[in-house]
Amino acid sequence: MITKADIKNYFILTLAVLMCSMLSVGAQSLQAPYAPTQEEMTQPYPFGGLKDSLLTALKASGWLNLRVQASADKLIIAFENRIYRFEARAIKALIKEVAPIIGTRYKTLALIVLNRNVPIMGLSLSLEAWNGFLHDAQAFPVFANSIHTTLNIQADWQLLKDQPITQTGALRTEAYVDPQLRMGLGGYPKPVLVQINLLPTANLYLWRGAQLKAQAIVPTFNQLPIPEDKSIRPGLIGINQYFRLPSATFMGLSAGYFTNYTYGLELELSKILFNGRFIWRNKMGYTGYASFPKRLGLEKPVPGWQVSSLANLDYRSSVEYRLAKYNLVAKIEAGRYLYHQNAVKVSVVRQFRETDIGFFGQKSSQGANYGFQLSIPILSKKYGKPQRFQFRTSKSLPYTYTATQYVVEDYQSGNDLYLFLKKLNPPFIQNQLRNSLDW
Amino acid sequence: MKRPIRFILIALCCLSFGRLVAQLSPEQPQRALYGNTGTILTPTGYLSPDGQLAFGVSYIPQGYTQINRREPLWRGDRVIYANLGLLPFLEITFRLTSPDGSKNNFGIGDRSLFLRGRITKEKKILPAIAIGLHDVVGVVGYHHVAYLVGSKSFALSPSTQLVLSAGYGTKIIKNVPNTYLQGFFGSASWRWKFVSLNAEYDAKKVNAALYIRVLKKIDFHLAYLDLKKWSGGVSMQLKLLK
Repeated sequence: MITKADIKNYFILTLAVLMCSMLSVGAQSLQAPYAPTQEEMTQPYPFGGLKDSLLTALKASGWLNLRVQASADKLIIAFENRIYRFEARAIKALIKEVAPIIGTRYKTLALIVLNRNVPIMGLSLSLEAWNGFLHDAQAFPVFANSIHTTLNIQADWQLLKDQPITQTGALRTEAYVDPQLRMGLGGYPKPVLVQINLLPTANLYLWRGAQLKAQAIVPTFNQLPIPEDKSIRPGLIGINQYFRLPSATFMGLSAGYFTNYTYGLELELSKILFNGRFIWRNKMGYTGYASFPKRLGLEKPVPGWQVSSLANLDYRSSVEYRLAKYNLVAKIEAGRYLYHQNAVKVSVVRQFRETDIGFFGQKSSQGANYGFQLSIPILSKKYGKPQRFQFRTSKSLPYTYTATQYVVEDYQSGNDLYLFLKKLNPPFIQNQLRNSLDW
Repeated sequence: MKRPIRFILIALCCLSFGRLVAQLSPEQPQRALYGNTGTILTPTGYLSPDGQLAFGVSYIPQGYTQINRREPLWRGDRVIYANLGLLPFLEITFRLTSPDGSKNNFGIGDRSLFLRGRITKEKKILPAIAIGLHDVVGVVGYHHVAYLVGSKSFALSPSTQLVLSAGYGTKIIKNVPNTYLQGFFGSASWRWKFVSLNAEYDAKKVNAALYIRVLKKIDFHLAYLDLKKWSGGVSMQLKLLK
């Protein structure tokens, strides 16, 4: 029989259970919120959608071959610049663009600079120092000293290389017109003879490291007594591919119609040591003579191709040392050039930001020569955002003066790897970012 | 006399650009008529600043050129130069000298290279000392000389300086027909902000000059060579590093 005591006990028991239940629910709601673990911090996507924000902003600005990754307290961005004429200025612009988006979420920003989607160099800086500099201009030295450049990018590149690319640089064409200036010494009454040509050029970026180049030579003003120079003729036409191999080694292969009436194949191998202060470069070419139109000495040239077989083997090896403090490059090169000329060349070139001025001397089997070379930047510092087909202005005007007629005949194959190894040389970029560019 | 008066009038107009002028100083030295840093024809112990590129043209009248052409129509030499502070301690000048008025075939003209290196920078007591080698690589060698020169500046007031220079030059290549800077030479410059009055002895004769820098980039040089004939030049400088 259920008594009043049973009901009372039942009621107390029920109340106790309810109270315990309520207490346990309350306890759960007071637990600490979810925090990502160390492992989760190295997940492919930065916490909080930061990656999407960065990629959206960088894509809108026109940077190419974008990849973003995070690792512990470091954010890594790989990019390619085809917006700015000067690579150091491009890096500065990108830093100023991404730093506000990242804010204080990461301590270090690491950049990997690409060319044709091939990693060339890396850079790291302290975001804490950058934020300090933003609040206090006197803190610039701390920020500047936190900038470090390197060719040792394997660890960071491993995290990025398999990432999907945002805004690929492949299958894009850029067209521009390069000026070409040649001068020769004449007699009275014209002591200087001038030739000015325009070189309309199209570069088609193919897969990683590959580029197809097609160029024409359009004479606009010619006083030099070279009959075939009066006609429109093909310039450099060829395909070039370069690779980055382990241990800061780069290899380039070119095939096509080169400059100086040469066609064939060229192989280049460059080994970079001491973080860009020392470069050992080897080139070998298997070439033949080719000319359009057919050259007939001083007579008027005849339309058509004049081609000989691939019979010339040329090779040269060079060693260059960079005095980083002054961006001064001393180089010695020796080998066999066109027409079986053996020669030794010594040069010293200083990079004044975008202007290169240098002096050289050379001794060949024919005689000695010396002179100066310079390359000056021209026209626009910044181009438009890359399109599938884009026109841009030429980047520079090169000129070489030789004092005697004993010129060592050489050719250009369209392999611009050397140019990028110079423009993106780590000590050079570091000098520009720390000392030269105005932040 | 018309040309010098015209020059002085232009210079006076330029003086009115009060805030657009750069002070002449050892850090921003003036340039000689041949393009290297110097007074009038003589060099000084100061070098062009690192990364500074200057282009200029000067006119040296007949009788005071290094080349005596002995032609009735020849009036003097035009000197076109480019001067570069290649390194903080090394200055290079590339110079082209072509005759004015001559109908003979001199081609483009005499080309030569001047090299100047710093031995010491000017300090409180120590003068600025430079070593120079002119016409090291050239066509003929008319301006060939090797020299040592020192310069010391004395501040007379916050905006006024007196710069004294002295040096000695000699030939290294013995068979070249030059007479430039062979022996002791010296100069004095009185500088007030962007204007400089100069006098020198170039191992052969006494010269005087007025030098003005305007718009921080353009230099005008009016010289009175041997206190008998007028000469002058103009140059423009650019900073390649900043």
